Amino acid sequence: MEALLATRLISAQHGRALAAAAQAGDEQARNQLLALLARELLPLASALTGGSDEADELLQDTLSRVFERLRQLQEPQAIFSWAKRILLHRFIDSRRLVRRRAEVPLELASFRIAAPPREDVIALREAVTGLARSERALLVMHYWLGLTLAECAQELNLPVGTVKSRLNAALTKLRRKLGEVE
Amino acid sequence: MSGLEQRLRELFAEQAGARELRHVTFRKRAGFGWVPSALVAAGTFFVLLLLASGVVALRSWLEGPRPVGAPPPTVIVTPSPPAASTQPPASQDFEKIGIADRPACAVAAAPPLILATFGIGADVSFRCVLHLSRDDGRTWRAQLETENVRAVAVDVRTKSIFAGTTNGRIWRGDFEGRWRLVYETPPGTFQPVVERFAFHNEQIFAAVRGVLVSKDGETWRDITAGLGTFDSDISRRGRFSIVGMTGFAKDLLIAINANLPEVGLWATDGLTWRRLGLPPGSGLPAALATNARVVVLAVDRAGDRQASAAWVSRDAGSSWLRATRGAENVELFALDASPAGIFAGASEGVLTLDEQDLSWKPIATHKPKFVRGLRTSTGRLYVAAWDGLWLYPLSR
Repeated sequence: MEALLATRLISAQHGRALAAAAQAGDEQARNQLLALLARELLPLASALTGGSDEADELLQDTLSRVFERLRQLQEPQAIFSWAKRILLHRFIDSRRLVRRRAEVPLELASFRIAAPPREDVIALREAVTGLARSERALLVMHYWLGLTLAECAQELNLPVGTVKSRLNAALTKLRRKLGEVE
Repeated sequence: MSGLEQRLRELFAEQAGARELRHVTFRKRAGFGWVPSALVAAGTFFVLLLLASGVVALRSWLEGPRPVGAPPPTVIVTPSPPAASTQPPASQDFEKIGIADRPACAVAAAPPLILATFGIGADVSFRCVLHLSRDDGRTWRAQLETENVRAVAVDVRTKSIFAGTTNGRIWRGDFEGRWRLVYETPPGTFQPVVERFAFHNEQIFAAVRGVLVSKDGETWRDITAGLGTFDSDISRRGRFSIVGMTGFAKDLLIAINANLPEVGLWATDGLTWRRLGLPPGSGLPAALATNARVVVLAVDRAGDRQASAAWVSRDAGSSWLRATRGAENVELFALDASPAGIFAGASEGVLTLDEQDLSWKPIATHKPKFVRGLRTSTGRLYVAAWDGLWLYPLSR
């Protein structure tokens, strides 16, 4: 865990330095920054999209957006959270997901082998896939990213009460789909 | 935390690790001043449009009325064409024969006919458009323009060309580029991508969520039954990619990269399937090729996501020898074997295998980037890569 935290810290420091250099017009730094962001954001994109090919599209689109708006970033140290927020919002509002790949074409992603999924995992995966994108995003933010309800509310620009009720509604829907309603 | 919440956590953690970056490459730098660039591009486009309209109007006035019919397909002229000859060019290095600034996705050839797919703009991930050249890559005509084509094949025996699409269709054409649909996957098939074709024992095979076979290119029979647990509905929904398919002796070999139990190397005599072991400690299959003597398998190097490794079997997969020397720091994406040799397309360049000492050597000074497809034909090697379609003469 400590090693992981140290790696993330180095990553964050590196990202901040690269963001500042990229904003100053250093093309090499900008490309390195986007590569770093790609690696940082792929797990989130993959979790949101159920590990599907859409993760590549979402990531590509997010990086294009970052690429376009890099100069507007006020605090280079916030590069990761800023990019993460862009990714979340572009996932939630799929209408924003336009094909920008010609601007930042990446050679993405292979897939990793996993044990064959169990039937209950498949059922859960399908139930989650059936939820609205905003509900899926909320579940990922809360249960995988570990954000508190207040942090989720801040990310989504919603009142905490709304986030709480949406989370409960999403869990209820899942239980119903899985036949686990008491 | 309830059981459901814990399961969600585990599910998202698993899905988060389901994909990984192989490499990140930026080809085109739009720069921050993209708005003025876009305006300039739009202005240029309209000026060109006006000029083109003028030329068309002038031509039509000069030539008089034209016969009514379907418009001719777009012809794209490459900037530096090779000589239109069936003899290999004299150069000892790669020559670019593809469409300028277009990445190539797949290639098949029977010179002077070449069938290749090219990405839209700088990208090949979303859409690959099929193109046909009948003059050694000098001019190209777009084919089946509404389709996203992943697999191509040329059957010299029946003078047919085949195209497999991402929506599970197989098209058959003649050398003039007249196409008809000969196969469609059943509705509801999960991710029905036609990934590749192979010729073996006077039959053509297609990899599409399993394996199809045809003797005449017209009627196709599914021979997937018996391949692992593939009959199960559950297993049909997992990720599954046939990364290599080739004949070896009496068998057809396929290499499967999947998150299903079917992962690995399989052989069929057309009736039953049997599993051939993967090399011990290897990663997942990435590409497969055979010649009369050996089976060559490229795999993701286990435990190291940055590179891959190759293995060679001289006994049809019973035992494996590692063949990584000369390719230590590259990823191998594509393999092709012919009497002229065994070739590997890598993240940078094309390598050839010395079958005696099992080492790889680069074949030319130019190094195509991120090779996706290789095909040898009539003393030539065709290479579909991120930076275009390339031709290399094998006859020295």
